[in-house]
Amino acid sequence: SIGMEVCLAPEILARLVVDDEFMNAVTTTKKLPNEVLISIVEKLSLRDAVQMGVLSRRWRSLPNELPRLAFDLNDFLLDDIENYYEDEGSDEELPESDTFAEA
Amino acid sequence: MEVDKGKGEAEETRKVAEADRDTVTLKSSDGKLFEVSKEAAARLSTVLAGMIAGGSIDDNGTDLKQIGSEALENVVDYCNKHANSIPSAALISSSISFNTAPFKEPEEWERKFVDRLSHDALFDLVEAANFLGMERLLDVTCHKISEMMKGKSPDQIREVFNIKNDYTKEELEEIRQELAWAFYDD
Repeated sequence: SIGMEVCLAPEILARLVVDDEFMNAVTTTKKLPNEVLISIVEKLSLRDAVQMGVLSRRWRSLPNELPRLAFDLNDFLLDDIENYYEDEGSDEELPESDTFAEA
Repeated sequence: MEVDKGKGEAEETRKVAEADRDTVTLKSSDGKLFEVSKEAAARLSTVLAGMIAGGSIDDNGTDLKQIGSEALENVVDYCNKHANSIPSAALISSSISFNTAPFKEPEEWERKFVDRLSHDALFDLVEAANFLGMERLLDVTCHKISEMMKGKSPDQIREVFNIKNDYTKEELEEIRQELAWAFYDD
């Protein structure tokens, strides 16, 4: 009979095993370039975008590269906003959320 | 949309109408051929526009070695659907005040188009759109991903998008404090 011995490097062997981590690695955000991740972050509110900083170092550095930021004024003027407008004696409506400003 | 051409027939096509063809044939990494309108390809992809203008389109199938057949099929499908859709007035006038470089919300058909994709297919399409310089498709797919991130805890997001937490415990605590204003609950 013909004996056959197959030698595989450990990392290849590891890939042959159906390994969740490897399967995920195929479609991870890891291989996406920064400009793609920025395009994702850009579509979040500023608050959500900043929150993503806890994910990893890479995600934390992304908001620095945003070409524009989405400010939701309600993030900054939580409870006092109605009083603020009363004090000003203004008829103005609350500003619309997610308006954009140049970074 | 898959095109299966015999060699002779492809040769014939080449002779007859090299410059006049109104479609381009794209070849995926796994060798499948897809045909797409030249006009739509040039309008939606800066890379394909450059290749068409530069004459580097191969009528037997322009090799796109970085893009698998499933992603390329979605790219071509998107181009065709886009060519058929009439831009809605709402889409054009949706920009809010101060909005200098507006991202226009996906139209209904674009939403449906990305919603039916599996997680893997969505990420492959993001990559393909980025590679081909398809700004709108990249925006629409990234918008979908951003929606998938909303309302999830950091741990859930790390799991879904396979992001490795590379902070130490101490660093993470520091960052959480620093970013406390951005968190609703903690």
